[in-house]
Amino acid sequence: MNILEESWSSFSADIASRYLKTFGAPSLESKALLVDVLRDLSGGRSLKLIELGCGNGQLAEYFRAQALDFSYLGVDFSEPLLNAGRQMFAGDPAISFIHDDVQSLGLINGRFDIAIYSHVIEMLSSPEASLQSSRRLADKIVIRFFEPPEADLTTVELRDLNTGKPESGFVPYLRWTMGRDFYRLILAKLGAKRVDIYRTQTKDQVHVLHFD
Amino acid sequence: MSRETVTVTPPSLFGNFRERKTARQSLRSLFLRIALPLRLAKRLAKRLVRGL
Repeated sequence: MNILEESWSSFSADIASRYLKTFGAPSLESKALLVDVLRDLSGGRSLKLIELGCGNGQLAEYFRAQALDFSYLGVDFSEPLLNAGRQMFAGDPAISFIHDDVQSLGLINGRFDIAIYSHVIEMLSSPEASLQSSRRLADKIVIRFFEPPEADLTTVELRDLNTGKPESGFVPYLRWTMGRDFYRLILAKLGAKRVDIYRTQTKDQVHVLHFD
Repeated sequence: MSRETVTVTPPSLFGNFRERKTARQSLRSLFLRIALPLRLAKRLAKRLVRGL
């Protein structure tokens, strides 16, 4: 287990089930925007979604609450978060979870309409590697940014993640601020043809990467 | 001592970004641009009439 995987697996079962629901700081506006974007992209048909870095599946829960028509595969390397998701959706055949590395996605087969990164891409060890992998599986990629890729320079920092567990306390995680040129280079190498940018009143943005 | 000249080609950067709005955002923006000023104008007109 690498250091990042260890960090994201440090949550207690209780915190894992509450992560980004009541624990953490979810942005509701961009979450609602994401649903609207997916609805617009669906053209009225059911969407086959894969979420990279799905955590406890709180986004799928939100999609259900908003009556979005979809099937869903959540991918993460944090077993406590995945278990919380599996418990939440036990018996729901349209929603499943798999333990895999979102950098390589080596265990996943099949084709998806849309790959989703929701407040995740800024915390991966290689956003580029993950995007290359998800591109192999999905027709479009939708990214919800909490740190939009508009900086002059690209920086990556080591930060403290609050696990909510007294014994482990704070553990390290990565936090990217992607520069404009860095992002544009990744998109060029990825073979993107067009990117639609949706803004919110807050800093959050939703990008839709088109490849056709 | 040998010297080698290397030509560096800058990588091509992606450039096709489009600012978009969802249907809900477009409606909201239309409301803010048209309906809201109209409502304010109506309210102002009423006050003016009352004041006369």
